[in-house]
Amino acid sequence: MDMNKGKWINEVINSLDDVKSAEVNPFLYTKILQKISSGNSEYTPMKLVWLAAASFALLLLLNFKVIKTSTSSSKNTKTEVQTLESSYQLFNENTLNYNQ
Amino acid sequence: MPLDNIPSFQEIYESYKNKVFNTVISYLQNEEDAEETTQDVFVEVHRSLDKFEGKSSLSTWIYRISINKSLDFIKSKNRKKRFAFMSSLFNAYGDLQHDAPNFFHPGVILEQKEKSAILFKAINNLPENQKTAFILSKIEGLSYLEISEVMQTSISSVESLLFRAKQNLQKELSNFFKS
Repeated sequence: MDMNKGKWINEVINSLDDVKSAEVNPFLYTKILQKISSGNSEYTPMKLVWLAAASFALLLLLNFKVIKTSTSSSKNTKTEVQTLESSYQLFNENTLNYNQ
Repeated sequence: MPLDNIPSFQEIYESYKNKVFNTVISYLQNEEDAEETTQDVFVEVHRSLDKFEGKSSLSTWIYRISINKSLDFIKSKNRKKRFAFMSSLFNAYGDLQHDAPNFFHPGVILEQKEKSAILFKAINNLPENQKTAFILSKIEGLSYLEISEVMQTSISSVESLLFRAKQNLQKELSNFFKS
């Protein structure tokens, strides 16, 4: 059985020894030229990829700047209000003193 | 190869069309897929021809493109299978429903068709490098030196890959024989 098995395995492994070259479809060249002329390819030029990445990065940066600016301006507003309040209180104290 | 000796695209196509097709079909084991991928190989050759520096021979360069496109196709097909969770791959008995059909290479003689179909199934399960070395050696008939240039490795690595490929095939075929 082992000899048969070994013989069979060798026959299978050698079954491609005399394989002939398969012929391509004679219209393949036309199809290739069509693909080339239509630009139908999964290839995307690297320049385009970098341009897209740079645009995206710029967009993120701008958004970050806008968010940062609006956050800091709301802080400034709060400070202005506090200043106003403290001035008002001072004003009130003065008024009180005056009335006394 | 001097750059001014590079033949025209059509000359390249005529010289290498069958080599490319036979390499690709040995990987993909499907004529339709092999035809599609062969087209992609030559589109890539056309696109990259002006960048070809002649550091390797044209034949080596074209073999590399053929192998890369074939492996990309296989990876893409496997990715699609992994995402096909809507269709069940196994029936109620746990048998694989979508098992790949037998591949009969168009260049194999009638008497060897059954055995070669079994061999191709076993080749399909080899690791990538062993599969490449085996296909280039056994089917394309390249020398160890030529294979080492295509695979960008040493001749001793090629010998080792072929040895391991043969061992793995024997193991696989032994299991097949038992079943």
